[in-house]
Amino acid sequence: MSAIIKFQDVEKYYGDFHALHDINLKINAGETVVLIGPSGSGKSTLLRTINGLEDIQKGKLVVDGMDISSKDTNVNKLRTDVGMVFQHFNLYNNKTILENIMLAPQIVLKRPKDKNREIADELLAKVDLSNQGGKYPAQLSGGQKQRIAIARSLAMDPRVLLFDEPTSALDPEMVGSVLNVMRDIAMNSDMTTLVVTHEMDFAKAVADRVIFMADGKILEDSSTDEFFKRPKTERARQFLSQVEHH
Amino acid sequence: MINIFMQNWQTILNGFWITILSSLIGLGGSLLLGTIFALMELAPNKILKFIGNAFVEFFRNIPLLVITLFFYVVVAKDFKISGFWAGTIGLILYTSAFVAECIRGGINSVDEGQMEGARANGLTYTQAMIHIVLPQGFKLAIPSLGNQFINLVKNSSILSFVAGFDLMYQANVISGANLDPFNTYIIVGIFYLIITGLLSTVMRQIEDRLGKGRLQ
Amino acid sequence: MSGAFSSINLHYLFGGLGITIIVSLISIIISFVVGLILGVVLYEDIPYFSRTVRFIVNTIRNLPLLLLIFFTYFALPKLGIELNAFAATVVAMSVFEATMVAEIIRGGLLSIGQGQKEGALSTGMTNLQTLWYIELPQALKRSIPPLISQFISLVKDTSLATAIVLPEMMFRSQVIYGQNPNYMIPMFILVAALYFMVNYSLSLLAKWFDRRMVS
Repeated sequence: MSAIIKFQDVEKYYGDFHALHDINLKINAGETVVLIGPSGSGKSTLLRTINGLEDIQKGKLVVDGMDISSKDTNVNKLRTDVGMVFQHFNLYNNKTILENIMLAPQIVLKRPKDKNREIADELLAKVDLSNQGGKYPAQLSGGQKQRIAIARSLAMDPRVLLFDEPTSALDPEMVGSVLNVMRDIAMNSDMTTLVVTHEMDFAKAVADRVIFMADGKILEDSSTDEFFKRPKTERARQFLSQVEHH
Repeated sequence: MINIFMQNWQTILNGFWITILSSLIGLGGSLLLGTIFALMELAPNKILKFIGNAFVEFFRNIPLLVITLFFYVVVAKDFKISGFWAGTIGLILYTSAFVAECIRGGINSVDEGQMEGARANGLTYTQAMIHIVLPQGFKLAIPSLGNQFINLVKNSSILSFVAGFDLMYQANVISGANLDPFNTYIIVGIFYLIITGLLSTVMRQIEDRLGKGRLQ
Repeated sequence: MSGAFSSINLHYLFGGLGITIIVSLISIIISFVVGLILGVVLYEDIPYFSRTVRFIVNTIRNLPLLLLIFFTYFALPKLGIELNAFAATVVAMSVFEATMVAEIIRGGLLSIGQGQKEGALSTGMTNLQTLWYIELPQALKRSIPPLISQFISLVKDTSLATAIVLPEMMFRSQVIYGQNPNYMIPMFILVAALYFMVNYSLSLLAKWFDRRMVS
């Protein structure tokens, strides 16, 4: 297996704040990796560096053969291969659901109109929201919005899909439907998926690997079974006991 | 008062029409130019940003009369330019600085996630701006744009300085002839109120409609 | 160039700048005081009275300032009110700007929210005390940036008084370049620069207040 994402000695600062510390990480094509850790641990920042939403100050980061740390890399090209789903959905408020899904394929990939519509309809069916295509984001519930955001990312046919706390802003009863769609993607596609989440049951069921972060460092990088059964660090044991007692 | 109107209705209506025409051209021109300069002010490119800022600060801080007379007196020496166009170009440049500020304010109040979502979705900065951020920012700017357009109509009276034959100019002509400035200016004032009053009513309705739209 | 900027011309022009500034200052003071009172009247909803004031304020706001200047200078003498160019400019600008200030103050008062008022009333303050100690101070603070923008407009608008031959800066620049067409471009550059300096300093002040309020 070849690494599709490779961090080499990566450092990230916000002014004086050291956000990412000596990150070394390889993710193989097709893997499903879950990042967990207390808030402020740097897991969202790490995720956002992968599609260039955050720049890095030191080290090397190669995604899908493109070196993000180099200035010559076309970040727009990279982003057509790396999709992202945000905590607060970030759906286009001025576009209908169908337009949300079809805009980027139309103007970035120049996908023909009929084909674009066909794919959009398939994706709407996949996220169980057929018949909603004409509505605006403001007319949907949080869970529905997030499923549309996932469909919007999938429409670009990315090789890597990043999920940044996709269920944290949802009402509890909405979480299940979004996790179902994510599980389906992780299990039934050859896409590489990285998920930042606090949903431990989802991680146990779906992840191939778990990465545990705290204070901007990767403390553990192990298979899912191993991490949940035999966490190596005290920090991880503490964290697990807190979240599992919920 | 009625007499003055009866005797001069053609002159007054001519002026009224010129005022409306100049305001309409000013509205279209300043909307276009103001949007361009707002986008330049917000551009990541430092040179564009500097040009945008310089333009806006310059035209916001000097009197409309200076701009208009510049075109009528200085530019007109080398290029044939009528009072109407000197005044209307002055209006466009002056108003576009204010329009740029309104639109920049609107764009700044659009949730940052909109740009981020679009960039992550593969759109370039320019594509994200044109398709996603600008349309939303524009909507948010409508109330303050409305105020600028009312100012624009009032400011079109600058044409009277440069023989632009607008409503204000005709008021001076009529009161110079009939020696009754009191009633003449009141009549002309009523004509201004017709335009500005209509404009404020329309703006209020658009705001109401947008307000309802946001609740959906 | 040197001819346009001869010491006689510069002396004459800066005298005009002095008049521009004096007219602006007097109008700013009067329009602020009057506008503050009108703004409170608009906000407080006094039966009949507020509605009348509202009508007058809206009417004046929707007219060109130039029309008010002409009316004050040329039409008021018909009613026996004779004003020289200086006084007419100050009166017309003060009336016009007072209506603008009134809207800003009303907007500032409305933006504070009922909670402040109810809190003060519940401690036993009268309506007037609430207004004076609680609502107005907060409203004024919020109104400072838009007020400064409005006063920048006022400074620029003093140039309109050229129309009634008030010898302010714009008028005097016209007199100077009237002597010699070669003086036109240097005069326009100098006059634009002087207006810009006065107004840009004011807008920096507005930005400074803006930033201070955010933090």
